[in-house]
Amino acid sequence: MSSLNNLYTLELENKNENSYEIFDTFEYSLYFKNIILYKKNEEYILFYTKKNNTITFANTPFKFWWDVDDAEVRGILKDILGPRALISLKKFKGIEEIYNIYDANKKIFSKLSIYEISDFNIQVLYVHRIKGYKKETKEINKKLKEILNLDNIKARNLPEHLFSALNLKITRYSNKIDIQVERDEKAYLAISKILKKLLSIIRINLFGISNQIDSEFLHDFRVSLRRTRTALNQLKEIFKDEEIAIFKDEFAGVMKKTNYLRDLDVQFLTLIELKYELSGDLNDGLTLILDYLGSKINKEYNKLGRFLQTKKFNTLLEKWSKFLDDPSGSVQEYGYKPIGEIASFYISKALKKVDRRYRIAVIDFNPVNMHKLRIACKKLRYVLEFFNPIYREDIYSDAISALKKLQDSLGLYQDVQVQSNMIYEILKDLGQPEGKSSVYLVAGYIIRLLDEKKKESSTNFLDHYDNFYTLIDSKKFKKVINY
Amino acid sequence: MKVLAINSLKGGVGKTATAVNIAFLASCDNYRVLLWDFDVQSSASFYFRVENKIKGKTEDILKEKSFIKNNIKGSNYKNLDIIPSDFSLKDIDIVINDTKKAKKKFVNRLDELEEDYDIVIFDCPPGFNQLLEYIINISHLILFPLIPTTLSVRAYDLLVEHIKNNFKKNVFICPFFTMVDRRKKMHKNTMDEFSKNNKYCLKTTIPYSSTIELMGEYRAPVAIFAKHSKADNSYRDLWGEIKELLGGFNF
Repeated sequence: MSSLNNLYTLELENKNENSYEIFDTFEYSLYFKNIILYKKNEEYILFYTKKNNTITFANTPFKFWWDVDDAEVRGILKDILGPRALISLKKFKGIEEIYNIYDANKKIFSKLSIYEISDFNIQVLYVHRIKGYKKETKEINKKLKEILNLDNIKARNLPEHLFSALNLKITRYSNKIDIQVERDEKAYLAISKILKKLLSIIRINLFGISNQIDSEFLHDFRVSLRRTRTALNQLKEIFKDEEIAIFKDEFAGVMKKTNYLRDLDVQFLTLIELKYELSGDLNDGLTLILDYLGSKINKEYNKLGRFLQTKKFNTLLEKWSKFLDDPSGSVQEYGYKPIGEIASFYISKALKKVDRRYRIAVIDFNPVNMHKLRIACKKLRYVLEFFNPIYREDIYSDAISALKKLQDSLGLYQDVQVQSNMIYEILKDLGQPEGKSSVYLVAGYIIRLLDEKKKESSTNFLDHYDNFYTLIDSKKFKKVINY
Repeated sequence: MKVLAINSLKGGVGKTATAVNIAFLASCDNYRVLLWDFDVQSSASFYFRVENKIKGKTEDILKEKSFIKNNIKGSNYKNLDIIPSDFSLKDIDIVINDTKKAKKKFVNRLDELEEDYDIVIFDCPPGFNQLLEYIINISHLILFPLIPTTLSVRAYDLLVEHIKNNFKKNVFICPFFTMVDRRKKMHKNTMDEFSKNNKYCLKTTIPYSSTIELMGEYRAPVAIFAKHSKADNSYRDLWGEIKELLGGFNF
C-alpha cells in the first residue's frame, strides 16, 4: 500500500465488514451459464463472469425464480433455473477497504478495493474503473502488478475468487443415461449396466426429495424409475420372470406413491406461471390456490420422505443393487445375444405397434383409439430412451425429441383433464368461506385456459406425427437401428 | 429517462449552481444522473473537478455515435456522471448550420442515454441559439432561474413569448427565484407580483448566500461542504419540487 501511496494520492473512503453468501442449484445451472449469484450484505448480485458485468437487486430471501420481485432478474432466472431451487453453497464474512485514488485536482479517477476473506485466507485487490478514465485505470493495474509481482497471475474478479475458493467438485449432472454401451456387448450385461446407472440416479435424487429442495428431484427420480420399469416390463425375454417379478411389483408400488405428488407439482408449476400475469382479485384467488397446493405438496413430500427412509424401501434398493451386480443366474437365452440385436428387436416391435395404432386412430379420432395410440407412443419412447446409450447418433436423439413432442400433444388432453379435475377438487376442499370468492373467479379463468390448451392439443397432433414419422421412416434412422 | 434543462437568457443568475446541486441531490436519491455541460465557461465541469475538454471535434456531437461514450466522465459521486464542456462549443451553432438533419442527430444522441440514465440535466449557456431550441424541444422541464429584478423578469417574458410564437409543442417552463435577498423591498415586490401572474413559478427560492459562492473554492455541491445550511436546504426543497413535477420515483 505504501508503495502505491508514493505514486498516487490515496484516501480510505470506507472500511466495511461484509457478509457474503453464494448460491446455485443442485446441478450448478448458473455456473454452467457463466453466472455467479451471491448476496453481499442485503443485496443480491448476478455476476456474469465472461462479460464481467453485474445486475444488483434487492429481494427477500428466495429459492425459486417466481419469488424474485425484479422482473428482469426473474426472467433471467426463470430461463436458467426452470423449476430448480437455489441452494446456499456457503456463507462467510470479509473485510472490504475502499480507497479513492485522486489526480492533482482531487478528482477521483479510480477506486481500489481490498477484500480480505479470512475463511478462505484470500485477499483480492480490485481496481474499479471510473467512466472516462480507462487509460488511468490501466496504468494503475500495471503498477499494482509490478509492485505486487503479480505478472503471471490471471486477473479474476471477487465473485470468481470466492466461487473457486469454495473448492467445489463440479460435475455435470444429468438424468440421462450417459454411459457408453457397445452394440456387441451381451444384452444382459449391457442392460444391467444401464439399470445400474438408473439406480445411481434414483439414489442421487433421494436426498433432494427427502429435503424437499425442488420438484426436479422427484421428476428425475420418477424418470429413472420409469425407465427401470420399462426394462422389467418390456424386455421380457432377457431376465427370468420369477426372478424379477418382485422388483416389478415393488417398483410399481413406489411409482404409485409418487403419482399424486407429481400431479400436484405439475399443477403448481403451471399455475405459478400466472403469478405475474394476473392482477387484482384474480391474483388474490391464485395466491390462495397456490398456498393450498403448497401445503398439500408439503404434506405429500413429508409422507413420501418418510417412506423413502423406511427399511422396506432401502432393502428394495439393496436387493436390486445386488441383483444388478450379478444377474448371471437369472438370464434367459435372449440375454446372451448382442445388445445391438436385442435393442433393434424391441425398438422395431414398439415402432410397429405405434404404426398400427396410428392407422386405427386416424380413421375417426375416436378417444379410445387415441388413448391406445398414446400408450403405444409412451412405450416406444421409454424403449428408445432406455437404449439411448447404444445409439449415439443425432438422428436417434432427434427421433426421441420428435416423439416427445408427439406424446406431449397426445398427452396434453389427458394432462389438462387431470389439472381441471384438480381445480374442482381444490374448490371443493376450500369450500366457500367468506372472502374467498376470488378463488372461484380465478378457478374459472384457469379452467378456460386449460380448455384452450385442450383444443390446441388436437390440432397439433397430426403435424407432430408427420415430423416424427419422417424421421423414423428415413434410411438413416433405419440404418442406425438396423430395422 | 427525464430531461431537464437549466436555462436563462441572462448570465450570472445561478444556472450552473442550480444544475450542479440538483444533479447531486438527484444522484443521492439513487437516480442515475448525467449532467451535460454546454456552457463554454465550463463552470459545472470545474465544480466537479473534470477537465473542460471533449474528445473529438465539436461536430462529433452530432455526427459521431461514439461521442457520448467517449466523453462521459464519472464524477466523485455515485450515480453522477458528467459530459464536460469545451471552449470549442462556442462554434456549436455553426456546426449545427453545416449539418444536415442536425436536430434529428441531436435527438439520436440523447436516445443513446436512455438505458443508462434516469435524468439528463443540461447546463445551458446564457443567451439563445439553435442548440437551445433543440434542448428546449426535447426537455420535459425547463428550469428558469430568475433574480427578482425587472431585467430578469423581462428576460423570462422574452423567452416565453419566443416559445409561444415558435414552438409547436407545449414547453413546460418553471421559473424560480435565485439570489434572493428578502431585505430588499424590490426583490420582495418583484417576487410577489411575478408569482401572482405565473402559476408555474416554483415555491422554492434560493437565497443570496456566500455558501453558494464557496462552491468554487470547494469545487463541490453545497451539500458536500455545508450540509443542512440554508443554501443546501433551499436546493433540497427545489429538488423536491422538481421531482414531483417529473413524476416522482417512477420516471
